Amino acid sequence: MNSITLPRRDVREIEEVEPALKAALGADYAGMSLNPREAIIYLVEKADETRLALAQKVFIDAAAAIDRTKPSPANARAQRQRAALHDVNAADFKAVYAQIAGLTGAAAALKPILVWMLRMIYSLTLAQGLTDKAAPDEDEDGA
Amino acid sequence: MAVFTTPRTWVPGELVTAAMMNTYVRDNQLALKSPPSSVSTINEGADYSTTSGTYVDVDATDLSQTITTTGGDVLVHFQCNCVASAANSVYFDVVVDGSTNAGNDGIIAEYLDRSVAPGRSLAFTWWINNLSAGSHQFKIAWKVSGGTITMYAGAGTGGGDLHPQFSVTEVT
Repeated sequence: MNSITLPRRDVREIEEVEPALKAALGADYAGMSLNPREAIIYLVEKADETRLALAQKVFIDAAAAIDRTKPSPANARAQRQRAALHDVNAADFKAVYAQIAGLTGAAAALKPILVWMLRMIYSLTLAQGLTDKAAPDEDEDGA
Repeated sequence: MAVFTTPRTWVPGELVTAAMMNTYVRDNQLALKSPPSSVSTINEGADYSTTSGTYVDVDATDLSQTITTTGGDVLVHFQCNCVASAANSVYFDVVVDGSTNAGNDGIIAEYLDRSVAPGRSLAFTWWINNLSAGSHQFKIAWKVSGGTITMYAGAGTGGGDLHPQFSVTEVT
């Protein structure tokens, strides 16, 4: 496997530069690593000096284009996960159950499947330890 | 550093000299007390990461140990915490003098289904048999099944400011 080692520059995460490397190098690209000082780009064995030079140029350009005022991909992912967890924690299963129970007309025929889905979502959430709320169709006293 | 010498077989009536005592008693005890060993505890300014599907060094400088052995077995220890950008597996092996020691898929693997700190903890000890006497270099290598794997390196990442440690010790 060929590799080229470059200064890490402003690259916080591989995801910030890898799409450009994959697009430019195609099947010659074999991955990359970051350590605190360097970026190491791996190319397949048959890749020649021209491809290594291209990898270097693409990396430098992609690193220069990074907007460090924005969260890194991992930080953005963590923010989305925290938001999702907050949504799950705040989910009012009882209110949704009441809405389903209140369905009338043609929609009323969907009640059984909607209640089943709501219970399943609640069970999955409870099993994952993501809620401490009572079941959607459970009385306050647990009945 | 004191060198271990194969213990002498003493015979009745033998005159024990200071040189013998120093070689076979003092130096051997010193050698046993402080065998060839090296350890690094990682405390970097940024974490490690890779997308390589074949084994590559995690850090050829800071996760590299060189010891001069007297010939025998060496015990390797390594521990870290890792996360994945998306659920994927990470594999580890030890590179000894330029070659992965376990071969195949390596020493240890973990399916990483966590993308946020602290991720999953990984640790292994690995016994290397019958290394010849002399200088040997040991490095930690890793590969991934897909996506990006990040190893925390004490770089201040929230919830993941964790310090890998890598040690090698001659044990026989």
